[in-house]
Amino acid sequence: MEKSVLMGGFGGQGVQTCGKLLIYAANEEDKIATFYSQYGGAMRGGTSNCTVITSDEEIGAPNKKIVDYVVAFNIPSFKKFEERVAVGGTMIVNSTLISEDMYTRKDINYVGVPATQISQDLGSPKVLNVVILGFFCEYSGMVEPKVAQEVVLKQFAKKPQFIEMNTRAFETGVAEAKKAKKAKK
Amino acid sequence: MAKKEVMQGNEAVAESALRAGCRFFAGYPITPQSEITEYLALKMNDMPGRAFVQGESEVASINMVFGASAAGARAMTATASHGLSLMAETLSFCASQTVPAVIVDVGRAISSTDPAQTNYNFITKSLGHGGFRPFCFAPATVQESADMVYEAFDIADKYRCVVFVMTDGMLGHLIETVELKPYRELADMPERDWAPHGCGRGHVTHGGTPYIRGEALANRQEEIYAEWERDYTRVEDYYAADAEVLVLAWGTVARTAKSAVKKLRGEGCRVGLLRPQTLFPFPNRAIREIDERRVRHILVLEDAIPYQFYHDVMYALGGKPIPVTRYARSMGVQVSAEEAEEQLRRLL
Repeated sequence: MEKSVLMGGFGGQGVQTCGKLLIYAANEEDKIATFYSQYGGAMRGGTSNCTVITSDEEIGAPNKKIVDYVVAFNIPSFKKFEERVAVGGTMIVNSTLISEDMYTRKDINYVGVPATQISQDLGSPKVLNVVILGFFCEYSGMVEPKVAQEVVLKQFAKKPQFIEMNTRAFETGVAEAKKAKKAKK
Repeated sequence: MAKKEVMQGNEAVAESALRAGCRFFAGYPITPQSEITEYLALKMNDMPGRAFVQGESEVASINMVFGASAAGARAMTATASHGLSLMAETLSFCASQTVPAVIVDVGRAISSTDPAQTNYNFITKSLGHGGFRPFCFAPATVQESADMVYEAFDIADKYRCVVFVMTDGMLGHLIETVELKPYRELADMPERDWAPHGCGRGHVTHGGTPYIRGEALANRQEEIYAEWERDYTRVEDYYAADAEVLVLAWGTVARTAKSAVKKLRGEGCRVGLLRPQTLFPFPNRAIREIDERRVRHILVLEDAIPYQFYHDVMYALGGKPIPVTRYARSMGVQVSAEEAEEQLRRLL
């Protein structure tokens, strides 16, 4: 079955890395997957988004407009991509920056994770994307969180000083998703 | 351990070229091709028997490729649209001297760095003055890009010709799972007995060394094209066998259209897709054999206005009584899956 996610934020939030880690994890599960990205010429502070699709069969358009999940790292991406969630799909928002009164649609689900706050509590805004990755994997089931976590650790194999913080970031994301799933029930 | 690797289209093309035995690469960076040059710059000069040069321009790069290839090395360059224009003279010279070359063109719009299919006529119709034509592959996935580049070197060697692999900015920058073919030993490459080996063997060369000259050379090209059309034409059939409305498209537009075809098939609509994987040789026969009693409409899609691919489809159809609708975007805007779906729904 095909599953798709669009992630958007501003340059420097780690949107591209988050999407890449996701496709690496999908590959570890021997899924067919694509990663399509768009980012502005200016790096930090510019717009940045990527679309990841996983499937067990050939993938057509890698730049689908309507996707199962949208993950909004910041307000501009929330506003821009809210309309691209499929009916019945899910919008995952960075709730530190995006408040519930901004939600405009009735035909999709919204779920928040205070990712910026969590990353700051952990001591580095840099792990924001890893918090979101953990949350997304657990919440969506697009890839197994365990597999994604291994990919994250492998990514930092050469920088062992970052492993602990990223592990905590990922695990906090997963824990938040478990809470959110329970609340939904 | 995963069976496949995760690679960007451009990187997969570069790595696959190395695996196919590419010994020389010269190129000049241009968006959206630069990652090919970058990848090879990092890797190639550390590999024994191989050389990478960043040319001072596209003109210099293709001329170095000519030189390396004429001297016996499997050689390649990569560029994007505007850079290709600069290479035109030497492309023509490669063809007329029957010096093999593999060229990857990562197409972009004339007005921006966004993807486009507007090099179609440039590449498939003629290698500049002289009217010689290159073999042209048109991949639609990262996997196919890698496989086609791998095969391109063999075709270039066999026919002593220029082989193009025509991708675009979307495919070049797309990251997908891919299974690469194994490294070939440089010692196992087919011998180019026509290449000059210095005075010892008494060969003298003027540019390249065409094996025949004059009109015989020109006539030989026609024979080669006929052979290509017979033996090398490739076309993908995606739900086309019982389709009543048929999409014809190539490259990334075709894979985008697949999403629309798949969705409509899910609703029970008889739609299908024919996707040429080689653009020269063009799948004239497959198009000519479309059954007009079953197919009641053809939709041609491309990322090029003025239309280019469309005209080849019309020629191949040879006046068959099937209505044809064309739809395209241009200047860096791409046909989306949603647009393809909308167009198809209008014809159902």
